Amino acid sequence: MINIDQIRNDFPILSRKINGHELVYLDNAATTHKPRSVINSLVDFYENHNSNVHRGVHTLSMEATDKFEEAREKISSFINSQTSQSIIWTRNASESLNIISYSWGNKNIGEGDEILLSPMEHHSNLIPWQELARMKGAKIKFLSLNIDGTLDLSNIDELITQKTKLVSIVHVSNALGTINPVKELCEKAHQVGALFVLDGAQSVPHMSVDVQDIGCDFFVFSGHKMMGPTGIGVLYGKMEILEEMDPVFTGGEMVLEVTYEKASWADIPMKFEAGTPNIADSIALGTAVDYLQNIGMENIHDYEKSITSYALKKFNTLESEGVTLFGPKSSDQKGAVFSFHIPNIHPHDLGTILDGMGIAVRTGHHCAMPLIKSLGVSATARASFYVYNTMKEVDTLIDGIKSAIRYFGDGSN
Amino acid sequence: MAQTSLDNLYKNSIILDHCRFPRNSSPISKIDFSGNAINPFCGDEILFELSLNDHFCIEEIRFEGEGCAITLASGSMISDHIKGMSIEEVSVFTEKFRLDMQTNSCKSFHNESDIFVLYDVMAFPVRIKCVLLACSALENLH
Ligand SMILES: Cc1ncc(COP(=O)(O)O)c(C=O)c1O
Repeated sequence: MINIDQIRNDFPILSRKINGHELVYLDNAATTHKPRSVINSLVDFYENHNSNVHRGVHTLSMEATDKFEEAREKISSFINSQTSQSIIWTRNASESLNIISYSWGNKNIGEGDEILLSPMEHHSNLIPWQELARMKGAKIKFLSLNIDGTLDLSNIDELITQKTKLVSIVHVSNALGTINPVKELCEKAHQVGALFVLDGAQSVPHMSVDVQDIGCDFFVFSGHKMMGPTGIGVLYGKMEILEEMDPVFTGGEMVLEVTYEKASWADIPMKFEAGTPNIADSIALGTAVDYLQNIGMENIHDYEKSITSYALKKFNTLESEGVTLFGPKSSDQKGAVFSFHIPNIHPHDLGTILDGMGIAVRTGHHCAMPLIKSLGVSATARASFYVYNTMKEVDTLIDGIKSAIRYFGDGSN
Repeated sequence: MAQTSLDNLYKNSIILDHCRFPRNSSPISKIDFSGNAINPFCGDEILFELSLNDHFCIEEIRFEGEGCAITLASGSMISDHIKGMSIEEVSVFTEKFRLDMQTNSCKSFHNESDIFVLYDVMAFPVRIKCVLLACSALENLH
């Protein structure tokens, strides 16, 4: 069991008033708030330990290096990586995916090869592959989608073939909330010798993830969506694959031996981390992991599941008002992400009206333009929850939507 | 952004009226100029088509839009406002109106048409771009 009041107390921003109302923050799929311990961790680093890493014998440099590498260890055990060497610091999930595409993709994808994606990928897990395919003459294929926003795997054996070199899939969709059967997909990819990339940006903040159990070759995520700072992300890769990859960025920190003519690369993960890394934010991401583990990922997942069930029920009552909810309708198949559409009210107008009530939702295409278009709308409103949200906030949202409908209907409040 | 300014924005019957019943939406007999604009962040889109009379002033105008209430109302109001203007006058208008909306320094337009209610949107800075999409479409006239 978790104590929501206690958790909410840990997040200074949750006591802010927005337009005279208590903040109801439902834009967690975009970014999450930070507990005091994470904020303090940044302050503590700069006030007490600030120094560059791996470069000095003085005390501060050693402290900074220890904390920095300790954070890597925390991330490693958080996703159950075999070794912390498999954890490469990046800026965010997008950069992690780009590194895979530029480094592994450049070397291993050729003309006529196929890359398999799902139709619900974030632009970050679509465009790097489009670019790679364009440069190499490779082909991108897409899995099919069921009407309820789950993946249709009935034709998977036609789509995953000997030509398939890479399968890259989102673990939990930021637009629909769909939780994908990634273990099964990973197995299918491996059967034909393809690599399996998993975009965990929306999964690792909300559920326990075990990269060894899933079997994925790469796993990517962003710190800011899991209570950590912006500007820090992770690329996990299997060691034997990382060994064979070339660095995308070169320069300081990532070399072993340098002459005026050439250089040899440092060991993994340093080989992929050119220049001074984002030291303070890495350490604070480690603190975010501590915070999450302290609550317990199973507890977080269970609690959010109960929010999902409750919100699904509540959205049901809006059906008679014409509100369409996209994505799966069961909390087993869906994270706490609700993308919806109201006839005759454009999502941006809804967003502005809800903001007037202190409710923060996201409106637009959620960086999944082709998917949103395929739903037959140009934009949706999206409410996404985290462990600090309450059932009462679900009610506030639903009431807000109802009053927006009245607003636009006859102008009454 | 208190509730009162929200009320100004959406309960303003003029805005909702233009949004529900856009003016100048029927096809016109000939098209001398047309211009469109898309907001890449939200996909909202506005198109103007117009014909000129013998004095090179706008005789007929058609406006078509896809988007939020502010975008649609702005397109509809502006289509009414520029009727009878020359192309040069249209570009003077868009420049002036854009400056008004972006700098909050002066309100050049009053009761001569409905567009003065669009100044209420200045209380919602992120929505100013919705108002100005119609200006972008007119700046693209060709
Ligand atoms: C599923 C998914 N993948 C990738 C990303 C990209 O994350 P970032 O913008 O932090 O690189 C996001 C963020 O919106 C996401 O939701």
